[in-house]
Amino acid sequence: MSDQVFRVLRGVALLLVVVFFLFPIAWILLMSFETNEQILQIPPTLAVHPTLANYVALLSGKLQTASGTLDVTFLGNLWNSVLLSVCSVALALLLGVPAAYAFARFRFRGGENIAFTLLSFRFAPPLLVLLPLLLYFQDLGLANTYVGLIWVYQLICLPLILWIVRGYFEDASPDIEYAYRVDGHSWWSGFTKIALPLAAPGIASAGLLSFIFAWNNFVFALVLASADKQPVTVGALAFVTASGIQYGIIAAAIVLSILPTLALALYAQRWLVEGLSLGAVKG
Amino acid sequence: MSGMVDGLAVRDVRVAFGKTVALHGASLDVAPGETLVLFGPSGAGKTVLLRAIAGLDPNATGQVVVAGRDVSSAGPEHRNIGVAFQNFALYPHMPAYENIASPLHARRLPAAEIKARVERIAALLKISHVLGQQPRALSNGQKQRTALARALVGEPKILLMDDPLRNVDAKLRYEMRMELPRLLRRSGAASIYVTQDYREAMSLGDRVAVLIEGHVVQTDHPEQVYDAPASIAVARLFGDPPLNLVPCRPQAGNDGVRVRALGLDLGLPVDPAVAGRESLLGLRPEDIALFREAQPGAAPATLEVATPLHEKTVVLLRTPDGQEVLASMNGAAPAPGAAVWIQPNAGRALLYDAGTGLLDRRAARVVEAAA
Amino acid sequence: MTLTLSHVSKAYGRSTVRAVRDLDLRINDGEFVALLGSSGCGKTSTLRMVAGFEAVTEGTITLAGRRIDGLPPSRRNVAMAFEGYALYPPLTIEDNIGFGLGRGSGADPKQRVREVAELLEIGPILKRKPAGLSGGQQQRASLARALARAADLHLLDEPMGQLEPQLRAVLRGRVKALTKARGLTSVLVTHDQTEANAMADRIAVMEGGVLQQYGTAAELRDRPANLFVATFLGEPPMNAMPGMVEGDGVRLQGEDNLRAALPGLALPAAGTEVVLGVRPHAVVLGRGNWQGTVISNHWLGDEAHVALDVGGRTVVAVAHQRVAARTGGVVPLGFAPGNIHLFDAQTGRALMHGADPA
Repeated sequence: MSDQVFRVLRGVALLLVVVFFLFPIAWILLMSFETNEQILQIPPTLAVHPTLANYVALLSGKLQTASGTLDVTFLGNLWNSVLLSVCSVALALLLGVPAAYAFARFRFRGGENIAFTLLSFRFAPPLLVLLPLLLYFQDLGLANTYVGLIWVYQLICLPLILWIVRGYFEDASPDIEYAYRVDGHSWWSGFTKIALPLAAPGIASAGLLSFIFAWNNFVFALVLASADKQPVTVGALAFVTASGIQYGIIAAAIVLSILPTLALALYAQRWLVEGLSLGAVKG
Repeated sequence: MSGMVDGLAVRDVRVAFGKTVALHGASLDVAPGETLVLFGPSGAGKTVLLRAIAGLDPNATGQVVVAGRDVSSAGPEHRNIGVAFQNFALYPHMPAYENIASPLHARRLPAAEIKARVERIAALLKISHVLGQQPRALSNGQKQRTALARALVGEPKILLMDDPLRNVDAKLRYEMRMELPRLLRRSGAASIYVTQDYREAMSLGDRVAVLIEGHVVQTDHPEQVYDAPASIAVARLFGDPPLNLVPCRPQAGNDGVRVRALGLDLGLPVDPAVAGRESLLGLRPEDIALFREAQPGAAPATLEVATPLHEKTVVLLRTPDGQEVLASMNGAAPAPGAAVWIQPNAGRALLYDAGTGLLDRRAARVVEAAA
Repeated sequence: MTLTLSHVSKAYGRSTVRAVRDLDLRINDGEFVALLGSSGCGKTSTLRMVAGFEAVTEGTITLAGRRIDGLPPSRRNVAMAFEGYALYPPLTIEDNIGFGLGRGSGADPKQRVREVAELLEIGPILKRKPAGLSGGQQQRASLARALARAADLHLLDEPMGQLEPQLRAVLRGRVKALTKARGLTSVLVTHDQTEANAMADRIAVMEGGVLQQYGTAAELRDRPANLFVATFLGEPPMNAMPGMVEGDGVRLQGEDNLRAALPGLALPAAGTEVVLGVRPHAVVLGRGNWQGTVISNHWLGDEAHVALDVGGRTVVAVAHQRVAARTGGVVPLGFAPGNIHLFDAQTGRALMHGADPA
């Protein structure tokens, strides 16, 4: 009997957790199919008269408001997001994976300190470094460039990749790589044919996580990028217009911007969970 | 044997990690087709030495010569060696076939030849039926055979095996113990086999090198190591149950020396020069005969504990003067507390210097070369 | 205290595969029992169910007269030595061993700790912390902690795997003597038959989640219940040769029509497919009706292990003296009918033992 009570209680608890986390998303989804008037209606109604107007406006680039037609750069923003996130993660993988291997396999003077310093970039609030960074970047001509943004995004991606992937490299016995060397293969071949494939789940999950963090970044891009370089997170601000906040269109923009990461995350869900837990234990 | 063209020559190989010395200048020679067993307790430096020979340890200094070629500064991939690791170290993302084929791929052999050679070695090791399986689907015994096949397939000049039977159960271990000598002789490689099991050392080794705390303390024929361990440390490790050590002070006698031990007056046919020195009399448990009734030349003792070991029984005895003695016997043991009589075989006794712990060479009986 | 497992099964998750199947086991008060088997045989699952780390899927466990399978581990009054040590890192070895002592244990806890530590030769490291100690030292500390506690049952999970063989040999005897002197009821989980033989009053051999045989070392050796137990125990393992009962003997499989004459035994019916088992120690070299070619001949200091090829079968013999046979030489061999075992070729169940009264 106590078994059954336990099972019911567990179901209720799970339901509460799911509702708590999914409600905002469901709400946003609902809002994205409503006009601003419907959203701001008091008392709110649950009756749904779905409209695609918000999505049409985003994709066509023209938004009709009370105060006239507004140009929307949403697709441009979306492209910026893709470009910035993909390039940042690619660069971070290129730098971070070999570094993670070095930290995992070789003991060198100050190694732990360097690794920890890299991680500490994640502790500092971005605002702390943002203003000096802006001044430097303006002097160097990096402000409002893709290169500059990708560089700054390394603060987000690199520590994550380094620490998760390092755990994976440490998990694999070095004897496996030794065996491959002894078989007659070069060091490089051992790295690419043995070490990398064995750490592949970790690399994939670390890449995915840093992609999500890069995609969702707001504050770096807000300060360092002007309109034509802005990603969707910052671009959504444009809908806070003089004539009011365009809740419906903001919701639609959020839904569209979530889609790529959501698809990616669902696709790689298994790796992600495994990667996070392993990285957490070993890191 | 230095200057040997074939086989393996290791000269003064030393490994230190900072100030910690793991290996103090080891020198070994192994002839082609010969198996040298590297025996010692864990932490003695056996694996360290193996890795140094394989070129896997950047901290190693000294000289490693493979078939007349000095490979001391060559990377592991250029030394023409095969290694079987204790934890198998199979490539988890490749099927058994690709694991075994790896050394052949490294030499860029034609696919047909690779296939033929992998299949030949797999048949020899009885794993032909699992070649398509991933390592995680293999049993421990199959993993161990796959690892061995990978080490052998490239027909290396040098074969290094790091306690490869440690992680398999007794039955498989025994099967491999019978199969391995034939495989190794057939391969013609100079082999080094690491183990902590003295029985494995005796059944696999043409010679045994005993490594203790980073020093090679004895290199000999396995039976010689058993019959005349060079030091107390070696004697304690090589044999189960271990050697009895009884304090004594030899007196000069007619034909050698006489010692008073276990309540008996024993004559040992050794150089009288050891007379008067604080010594330890070494007696193998199987060299102590046990009687249930008083015998001429036997001393009384009390049986304290009887423990079955394999098909034997190991009994712990206590002499009237409080000395603990282990004896091993075949068949059923008397009940604990029983009075028994013991008689050591003085002809097989060993004499160690109590201070240095070293076997007094003059005291060691001459061991006939093994048949 | 007496431990009884009755019809205990264990399934993990929703799997229908049973890690332990219908296990009945009774361990008497003061008895030392070993659960012996290779990895994955169910011995560790059994131990974890007794300790309370795993729930029982079916069946009941009682200890000292009370049912414990529903109780949390803390209320079972069970002490355990962990294979992975499980020492508390911030405490010294002394405090680790003394942890939880003093409650109704009667004797002075400090004294108890010192005694056990001395027995296991960890006296000199009592003031140190687990970090920085060798695996063997930590393992002995874990074992000491389990033995120092006054519990109804002492569970020892591979408690000596990390020790040097020589130290292990000495400690086996001492630990057993301690459990006997204090009347502890103990369960040892091990894959090492030498350890089980040396320490246990009775041995439970497990394989595939099923209890294969439960008895003293001598019973398992002389009357193995099936072919698995027969070949799993013994070093070297038992020689096993398939054949068929014919007349007063067994005709072995193979083209050479080799026969084992077994006069005076109550053999199964003629035509029964059997496996003939003979322990290497029972094979006599130098006389007998069979001829074998020597494959290997090793003197191990106190006994000789000789492997022979008999018409394509490998037969291993153990002798207590040196055997003067060279590799490739032909040697006659045989065995007394009283030393054989016959197993059913299909099920592996023992059909008869040569030592049975005819």
